[in-house]
Amino acid sequence: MYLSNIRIALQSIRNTRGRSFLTTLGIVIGVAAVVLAINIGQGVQRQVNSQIDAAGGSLVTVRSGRVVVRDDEGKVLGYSLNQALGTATLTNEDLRAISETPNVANLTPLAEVSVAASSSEGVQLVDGHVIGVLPSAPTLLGKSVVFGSIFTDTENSSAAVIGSGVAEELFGDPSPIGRSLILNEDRFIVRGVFEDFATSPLTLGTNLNRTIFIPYSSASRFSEDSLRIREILVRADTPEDVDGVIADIDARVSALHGQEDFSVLRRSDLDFITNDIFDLLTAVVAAAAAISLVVGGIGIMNIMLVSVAERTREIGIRKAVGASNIHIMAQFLTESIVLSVLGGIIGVSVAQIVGLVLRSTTSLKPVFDLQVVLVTIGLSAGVGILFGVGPAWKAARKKPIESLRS
Amino acid sequence: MLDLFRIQRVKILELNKISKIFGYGGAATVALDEVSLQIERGEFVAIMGPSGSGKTTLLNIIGLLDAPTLGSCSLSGQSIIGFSARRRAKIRREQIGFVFQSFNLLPNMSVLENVALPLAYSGKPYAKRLNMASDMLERLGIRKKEYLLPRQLSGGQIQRAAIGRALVNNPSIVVADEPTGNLDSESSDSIMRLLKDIHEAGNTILMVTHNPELTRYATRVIYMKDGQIRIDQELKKTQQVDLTKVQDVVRKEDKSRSPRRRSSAIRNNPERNRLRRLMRSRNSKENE
Repeated sequence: MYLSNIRIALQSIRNTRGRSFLTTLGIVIGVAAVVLAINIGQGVQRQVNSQIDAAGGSLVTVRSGRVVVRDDEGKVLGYSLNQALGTATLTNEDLRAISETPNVANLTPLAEVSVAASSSEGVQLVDGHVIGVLPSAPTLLGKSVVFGSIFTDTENSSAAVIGSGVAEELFGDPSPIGRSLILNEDRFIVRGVFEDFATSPLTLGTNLNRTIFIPYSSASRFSEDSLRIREILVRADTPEDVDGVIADIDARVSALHGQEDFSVLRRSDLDFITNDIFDLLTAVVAAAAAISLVVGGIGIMNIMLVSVAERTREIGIRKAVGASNIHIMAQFLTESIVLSVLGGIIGVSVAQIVGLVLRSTTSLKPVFDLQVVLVTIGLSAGVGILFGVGPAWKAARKKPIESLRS
Repeated sequence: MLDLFRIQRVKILELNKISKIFGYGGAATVALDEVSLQIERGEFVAIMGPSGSGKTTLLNIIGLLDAPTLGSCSLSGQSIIGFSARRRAKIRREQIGFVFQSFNLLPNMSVLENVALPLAYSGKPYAKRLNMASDMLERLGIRKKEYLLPRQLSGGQIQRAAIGRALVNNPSIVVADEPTGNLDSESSDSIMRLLKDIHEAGNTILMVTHNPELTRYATRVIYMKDGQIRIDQELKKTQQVDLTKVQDVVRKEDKSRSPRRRSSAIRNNPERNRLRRLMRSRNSKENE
């Protein structure tokens, strides 16, 4: 009976192709929007997490500005975006103090300097960055230098390692080792190229693929007074040392600054930030999903009411040959469920196609999550039931004799 | 010998003072006025009468498409009054076969699927019901057309398929409302011969018709007027009712009757009597 109801439903949908298509469009758009939003959201979250994971669990970040508000136990209560974008307050002394902290394995500043960068042929680097780092930068950033190698402390200070985007833009060559760069008036030689940094749309600040990394000592020459550092990456000896290292750094830098114009962050603090954003995002998506599915459901209800009215005679005939109210109800309910589930399936497919297009044309990496797919299709079936019961009940209640007369 | 004879004459349908009133109050019309009728297994009953005489209403009540306002009714010895919609549907699919004037096949299903429709509701598996429907179409001689849609068939062929649908679940009674009303005389003859064959195979048929010629296929004819059965007579083989004679008889009867006699259903309506009783008792209380 269920099978023949589905057969009847498909047949009647086929008979009214155009109308059925327009009806399901509401569900298609709703489901596609939901699935796409969730997939993109999860993709971004995964990208962000992979960046954090690459750095490892023993990583500590010292940032300029009081980025987070903590309670007495050190739990993060809030996040201040203004502070994160504020001026660099960390200095060379802070760097030295942190490097002398016990249990610090290695560290690197990320000291951005403002210089004009071009290749020796005169190609300008637009929208790029120049950052002074220590030789430990690759391990702390979690990326290796794929072509060439990183500079060492003792080496000639006019060596540079560049991001893949810079190599492409200035030299049109993925490994322009030995070629020269001009920063302001100084000449630097390309010593290595970093492997691709994962970029994610939510990362604040710097795209490391478009960055020229120069020795920290050389960076200070572009700065008139002492170099201002936006961020210092620190790795503790082991993940268990992180708490102690944070407390030590906090104490030392506070002593130097006399005020808390900096933040010491650990990996889980960043989790808090991203999770907070994603919770909000999920809530917004869920609300949009609910609205679009309700709208789609109303569309289905409307068309089912029309269908019931149009097929009154069919209902009469079916009842005359022995269909009970339950049979008729099941038939029309099946039809609305089939409509909405078809809409759900098409919507999910549309979302996957759009996801693939985004994947290949933008830096977004939407993920395919089977659970999301199944839940949304289940949800659209639920919509079919919710909005199909009324019309189906109306169909079932029709008196056979009056239906036959219509 | 007498016993055997009695067993053969099994009452399949028994109507006792069935009335049907449409509408309420002043707009109420009496479609059936205390109709009593017994039909035995194997009869071929033709119901005649002018428009509005209540033929179709009677047929619909017998076919459980409609419920009477008053009266009792039993099918195969089982009372069918006050049944739930579900039980009425069950009786329709197990015991009744409908044939309509306008065929009423579902237009977007093949002939085969249409014939198999009643079996779907009695829960037969898909393949089995299509096989049964196909066998039925073979018996009716239109098996070649089984995969066509109804609109690709001639009127006579469509009605054949509709008769197949009525017979496919082996009903106790076939109810036909003007089965030849939409057909030309040639198809009409062929459909009537088919009904006669079906009757001779042992089926009970109840047919409403306007056409007195068709009564020669029947074993019994009922003439209705104003919601009442006025003439009920058995017919000999191939005997045909002379309609003008019947109408004359009825007209004479009408003249001799007082006009007050018209609606016994309303007069005897128990609700009305209850209302009268209530009003009487209230008056007597006020008088005290």
